[in-house]
Amino acid sequence: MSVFHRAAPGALSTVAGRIAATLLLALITAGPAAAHGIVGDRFFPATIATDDPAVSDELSLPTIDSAQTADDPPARQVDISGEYSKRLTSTLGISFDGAWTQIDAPGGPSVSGFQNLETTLKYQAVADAPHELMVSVGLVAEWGRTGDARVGASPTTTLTPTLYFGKGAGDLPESLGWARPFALTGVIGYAVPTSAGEPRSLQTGFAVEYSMRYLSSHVRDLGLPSVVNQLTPLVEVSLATPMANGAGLTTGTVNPGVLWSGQHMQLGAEAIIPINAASGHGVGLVVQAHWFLDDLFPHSIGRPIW
Amino acid sequence: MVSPMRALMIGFALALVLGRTAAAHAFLDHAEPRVGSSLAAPPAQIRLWFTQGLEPTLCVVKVDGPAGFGGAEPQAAGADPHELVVVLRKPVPAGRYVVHWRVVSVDSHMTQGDFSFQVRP
Repeated sequence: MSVFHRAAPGALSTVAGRIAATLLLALITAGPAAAHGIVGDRFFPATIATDDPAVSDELSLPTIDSAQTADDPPARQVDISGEYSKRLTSTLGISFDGAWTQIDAPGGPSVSGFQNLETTLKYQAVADAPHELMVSVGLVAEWGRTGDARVGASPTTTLTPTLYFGKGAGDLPESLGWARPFALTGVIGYAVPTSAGEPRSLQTGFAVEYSMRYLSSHVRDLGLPSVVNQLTPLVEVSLATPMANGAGLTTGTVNPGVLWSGQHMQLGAEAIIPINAASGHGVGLVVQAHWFLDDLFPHSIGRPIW
Repeated sequence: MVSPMRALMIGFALALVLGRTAAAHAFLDHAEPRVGSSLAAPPAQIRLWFTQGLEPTLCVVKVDGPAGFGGAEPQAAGADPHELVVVLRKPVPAGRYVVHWRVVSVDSHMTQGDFSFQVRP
């Protein structure tokens, strides 16, 4: 699921240039890829607040979050969303993301409706097994006027060229075995509304993960129960920084939580902690069920089309 | 009209039912000797259990050991479809052993990994 929230505009040519150069480098160094977020010994689970780098056949359904808005007094916002990801080829995929929102303002009426439809075209450019490195590039499109303005859906279409990465620490030396289960995934995107004068923003996010499965099957089996070995404690950070045609603070959240990865599905729960008052009030919660369609339907809808 | 919540619950239930019949990627569940363990006596064999049934003919397990290690026989299917067994040839001297595995699950997903264990002098 994308974390990208609309923010403010600008034309940071140096930042945009660096992103473009990185995307180009990723394309030039393209290598073989694996489905399901696996590269070499590493399995990158599907993170909740930030998109993981894998191109895969997956379904996030449902994702339910509840948090207080940045309004004063704050309103309670509940989102129920889903995302379907489909591989077109083994390295190229498309996803469709929709969300239904209900906002309860104190003393006011409750409003509800759908957010704008979001689509993502993603190409997995690098899969370096020995270094547990995965890099993808993508274009996220939030389609204006497809949602309900009463719940904040924008009338403007926004395009976000995005770089996705994932790096496991499995290539650390044996003496640092305890650290080898760590992995870092992240996204860097530049959101550009298609209407002139609309605010642009730099969208960043990352997740620091510790894979108990990696620990038990690659480093040291501590004899823990199987269900513990299927956990990935993690902290996700999701930020939006105004860049052009607008001004304001960086907003975002820090989400500590845990993922449980089974054979066919994954369950996740995270707290949502705003980084400042402009990002929200209080601590929210998000839970998600995520389905590995390539495992559930390996011979039909779980395969790449081409 | 079906409410969004009802639609979500129907999808959830459908996936649960369908998921019961599916296979998946095979990850190492546990091994004997244990991953990262230190042994007082050399093992005669290495047994690996995976989270899914395997296609044994498409799986490969290799064992690297210290100087003087006699090597390993080709892997064989174990007692259950999730298991592979590798018999070690003598001598099996003290030192660090690394087990490299590459397996294909019954639904053709390939996974790989490695782990080590020690045999004390």
